[in-house]
Amino acid sequence: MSRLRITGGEVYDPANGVDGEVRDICIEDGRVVASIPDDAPRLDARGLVVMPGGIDIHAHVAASSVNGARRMLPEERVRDLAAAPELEDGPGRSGSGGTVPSTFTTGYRYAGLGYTTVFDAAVAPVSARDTHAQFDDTPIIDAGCFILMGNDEYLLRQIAAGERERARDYAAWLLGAAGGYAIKIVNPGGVELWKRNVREIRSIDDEVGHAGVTPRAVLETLADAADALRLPHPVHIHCNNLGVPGNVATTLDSMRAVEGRRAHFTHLQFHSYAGERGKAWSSAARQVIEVVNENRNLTADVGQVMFGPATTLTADGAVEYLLHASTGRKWLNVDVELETGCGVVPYEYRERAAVSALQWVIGLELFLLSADPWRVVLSTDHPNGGSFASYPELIRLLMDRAYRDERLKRVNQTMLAGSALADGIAREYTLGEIAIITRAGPARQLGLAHKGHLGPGADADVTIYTPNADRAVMFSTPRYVLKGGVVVVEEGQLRRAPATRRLHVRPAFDDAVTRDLRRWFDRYGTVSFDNYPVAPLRDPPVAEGA
Amino acid sequence: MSAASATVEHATCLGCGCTCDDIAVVVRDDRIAEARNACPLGAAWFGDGTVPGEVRARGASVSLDAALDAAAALLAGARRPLVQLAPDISCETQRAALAIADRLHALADGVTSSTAAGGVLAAQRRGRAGATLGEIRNRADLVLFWGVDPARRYPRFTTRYAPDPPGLFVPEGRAGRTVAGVDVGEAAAPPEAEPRVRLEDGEELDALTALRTLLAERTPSSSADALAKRVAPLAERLRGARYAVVVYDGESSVPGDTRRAEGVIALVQQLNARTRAALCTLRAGGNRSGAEAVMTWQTGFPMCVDFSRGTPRYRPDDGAAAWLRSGEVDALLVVGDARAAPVLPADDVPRVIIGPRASTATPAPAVAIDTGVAGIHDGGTAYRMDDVPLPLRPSVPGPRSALDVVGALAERVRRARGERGA
Amino acid sequence: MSDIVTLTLRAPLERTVEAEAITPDRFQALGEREIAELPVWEGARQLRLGELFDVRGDRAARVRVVGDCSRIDALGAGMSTGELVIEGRAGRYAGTRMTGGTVHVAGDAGDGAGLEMAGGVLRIDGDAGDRVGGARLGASKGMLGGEIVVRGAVGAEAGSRMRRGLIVCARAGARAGEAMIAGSIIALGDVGEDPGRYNKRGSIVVLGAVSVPAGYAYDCTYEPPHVALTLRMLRARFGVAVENGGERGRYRRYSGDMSELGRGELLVREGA
Repeated sequence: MSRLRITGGEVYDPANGVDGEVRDICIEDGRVVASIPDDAPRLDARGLVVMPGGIDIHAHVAASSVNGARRMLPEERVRDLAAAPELEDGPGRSGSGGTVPSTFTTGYRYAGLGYTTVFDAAVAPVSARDTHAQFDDTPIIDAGCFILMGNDEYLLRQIAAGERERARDYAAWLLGAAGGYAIKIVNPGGVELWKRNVREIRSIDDEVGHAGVTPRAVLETLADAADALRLPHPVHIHCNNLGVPGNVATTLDSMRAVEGRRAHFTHLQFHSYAGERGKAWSSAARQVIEVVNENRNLTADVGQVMFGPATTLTADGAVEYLLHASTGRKWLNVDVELETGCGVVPYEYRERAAVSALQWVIGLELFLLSADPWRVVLSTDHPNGGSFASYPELIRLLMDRAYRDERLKRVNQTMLAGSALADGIAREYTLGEIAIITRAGPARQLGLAHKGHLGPGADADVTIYTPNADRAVMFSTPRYVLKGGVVVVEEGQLRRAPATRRLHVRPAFDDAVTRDLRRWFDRYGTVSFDNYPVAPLRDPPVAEGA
Repeated sequence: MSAASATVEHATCLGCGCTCDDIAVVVRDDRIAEARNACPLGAAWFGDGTVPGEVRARGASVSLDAALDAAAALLAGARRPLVQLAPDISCETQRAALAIADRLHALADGVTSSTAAGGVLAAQRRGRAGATLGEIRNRADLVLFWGVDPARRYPRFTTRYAPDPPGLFVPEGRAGRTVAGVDVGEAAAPPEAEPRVRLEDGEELDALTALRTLLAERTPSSSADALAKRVAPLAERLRGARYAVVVYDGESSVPGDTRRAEGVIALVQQLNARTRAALCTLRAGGNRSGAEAVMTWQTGFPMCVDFSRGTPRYRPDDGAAAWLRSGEVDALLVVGDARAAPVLPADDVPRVIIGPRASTATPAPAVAIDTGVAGIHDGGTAYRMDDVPLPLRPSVPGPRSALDVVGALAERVRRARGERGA
Repeated sequence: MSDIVTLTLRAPLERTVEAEAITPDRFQALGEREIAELPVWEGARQLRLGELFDVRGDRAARVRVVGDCSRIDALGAGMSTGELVIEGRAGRYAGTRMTGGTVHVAGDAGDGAGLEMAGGVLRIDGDAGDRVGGARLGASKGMLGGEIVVRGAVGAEAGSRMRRGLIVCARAGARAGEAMIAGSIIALGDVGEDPGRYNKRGSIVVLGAVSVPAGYAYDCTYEPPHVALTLRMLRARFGVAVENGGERGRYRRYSGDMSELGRGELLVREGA
């Protein structure tokens, strides 16, 4: 029986109402417990800040699209090679970094920042096997993935036929078959239209290839499915018209369309633009965040843009073509098996570029105008808005107004007229609030009862920081990181890489759907129905049945 | 296994990159009696499922233990070991083999660098507009075969993917699609292709240039004018297509020369400005695509990795063949079917071969451990030419599994280097 | 402190060694013993510079390397200042990614000389291998700046994907200036097959014979003043002499690659 007492730390555990109190955390066999004997080993945390391990609710780290990006972009990794760490529990592995690191390096670097749980936000079901294999080679962090459904031809046909129960059964089957954790929608219907060379959606009531099938219908159907199946995480929505000036209209319509159903709106920053194509852009952050503030059924992550190199990588193929055409950078596109799409284009956000500056400002406005940190959490849509390595810098921007205002002065001001940030926002996030938007909040949004807090029964994923007025320094080099009670990082040195867990769900469904699916696969599939599901996952599902 | 007859349904064939997963393998007395649905190439790949099960050191039979110890000693003692991922092993085995290369600070490569590097390198320069085979089957209304007739090396491509089968948006199947072709010297498109352009070998690159010049609505140079006139009808059809697919053979690349692949990639990307188009790169079998995927996620690079300084340095200017030619490799570990591995080194380079039919390699390797063939005796995962991962369904008992042997070797190598175990 | 550091190869090398540690900017801050301690690599084996070379001198930004270095790769890689003279042959990747200073190879150089170079001067008195001033296979940018002057012939893909800078050689092999983004290549003699394919911009000047690729369209024949100026500069600075007719001359101008931007130029000297 392994035990550890973390003593005398200043604990931030918002889920249990603990906001900077000095107390001990007791760990037994990888879980937090109420108490352990006094003679148990101790870890002295006096003068240090103790938080649950970080949870990334939306990143791209192990999808086939991610491996496509790695393959296309050797130049950014040849400059950032990583030697194998010397670990106490077995051989470490070398790798390469850049904005899309190799799998081992991804795990090590997340852990090095105090993150212990990460979700890949966009997995094509036919490639789910690829994602689980990449996760198997991603050390230390527990992981799960969201399954792309918003442009799935079989699903669209069920909606067209008014078969919403069958659509729900299909979603349930697909989650189980892919070993997924949540339903993901990317540009509902828009990716299927891109495959038909229709490159624009005006409203969420445009038809998307089938009579009566609209983005609105897709949103309703899958939001209902997630609720009916009692999935731990609601439907995870990337709206239509990502990155398009004026897209605030479709964003707000989509938020209204889900009408009281649970829904998570992801990388809001990319969907909060006023203005028109070819004309001036401006911030619509205030309008968008106000709707989120008022509707408790909605949660969101921000998708902050950070200045520097990034890799744009999405199932939203049409967007990437536009980016390729406007920047002349290299372009990967993969239309995927009547299911979804995939596009990748390297990109750099520059302080001096008007659009980059506007995007940076909009993200910060969403954070700073958010009324409820539990419902609006931190992300950069890694690697789209910037690498996860930039989280400490982002935290500093949120916690340090003087620093933020000084940075704001340096950015291109062309499109910032009327922006709330330009007018001045005094708010500074507290350590407690940071613990919410990087730990407790994502855990609650994901329905992870055992993560994001330090109460009895929680996984003993703990990050211990040395306080520092420069929050970027504080959050980039944890003093200790524990995963399942095991010390994995000490003073920025990786020490161990314990076994990881796969987070997935296995909802129940009416088996009638599989009979129909067999016919569909026989007619239109290129993979046998029986070969489609991934091999059973070692870990038990977080939720099953319905 | 029983002497009775049994059938393994939905087996996956690695005979070529089509990776058909609809094979019904009929087994009698632990022998493959029939591989239903398989093409001749696939049937030959399955054979009757018998493979040698030897374990040899310098040609003499030895125990597995002795062989593993000899292999570990040889590799751990080498200055410049090379680990080569050869065909017919699963991704799981490839992952384990690459882990050994990392620990040994070895050179590591698959077979792509010797046979199909052009497409990979050109895609690193320009990207690539592609699609999975299911999209091609269900959407393509024009299929242009560029210097290849799949009938030879990818026999079921046309019946399983395109142009023959009906697709969701092409219910008439073949009748609903235009099949166009470009013959490049001896490399001819399918006989049925129409419109069709016949090119001499030397004309291929200029034909691509002429096509792209027309599609970009620029005036071709006077010297390209004649060629432009020949390809103009093709340009018209491509421009008019709803979803055009260009199929070319990725296995025909000239080492060090990426021009052809780059021209085809650029053509398809350019088409997407006006209509939709996808490039389909035909790849050979044995889970080659899997080796690239595994190397990419583990190291960040799809081939030609040099771990010698403890980090995965990308060396596309070199690769397995060049390293072997340099004469500096002093130990070679081949994991997979060595017959399909590129240039084998001079006899004086000690070789460890772990894979199907290892014991049949000549000259006799320092260590040869026969294993099962992925997809016939061994399970796991393999990638289709379009990077769609598929499960393998072993049908007959074989010798020891490649994954087990490589795992055991990794442990011995660790001990030989005096490292702590996993 | 001496005015020059001299490295003398102790014995011929049997295996390739990577020695990017050999750069003047490093040496100018180090004493003799410290220089001898610098790491070089023979495969996975780390050696001390002093094991391979007899080291004389210290704290100097001028470095002489004496002996056959044809198996030593990456000499002067990434250097930013000073002068590195290799009094013999150099291995692969001499002066790769250098940003300033001068590398002078008195003999032949292997493949990848000046690969992805960003500034400074690389002089090679003998012949050079493939991709001089070019891009690594799979990389999207070659030379970013600086000057490469090769007195002999260069191999294939000289200046491939170069973005800025100047490459001068006596003769160029196949695929010279493939997919150039900008910059200039001047061949005083003949150029091999298929120059300038996929060029966006950039200038390839040929004083000898070349077959003009189909992607290039004839514009005019004229006497480009900038070429004469550049050739004069080359004579003055590097003693590069132009045979048959000197620096001034008329050139046929072709623009291409028509399948790309079509803003690249191929200048072919008349009466060649």
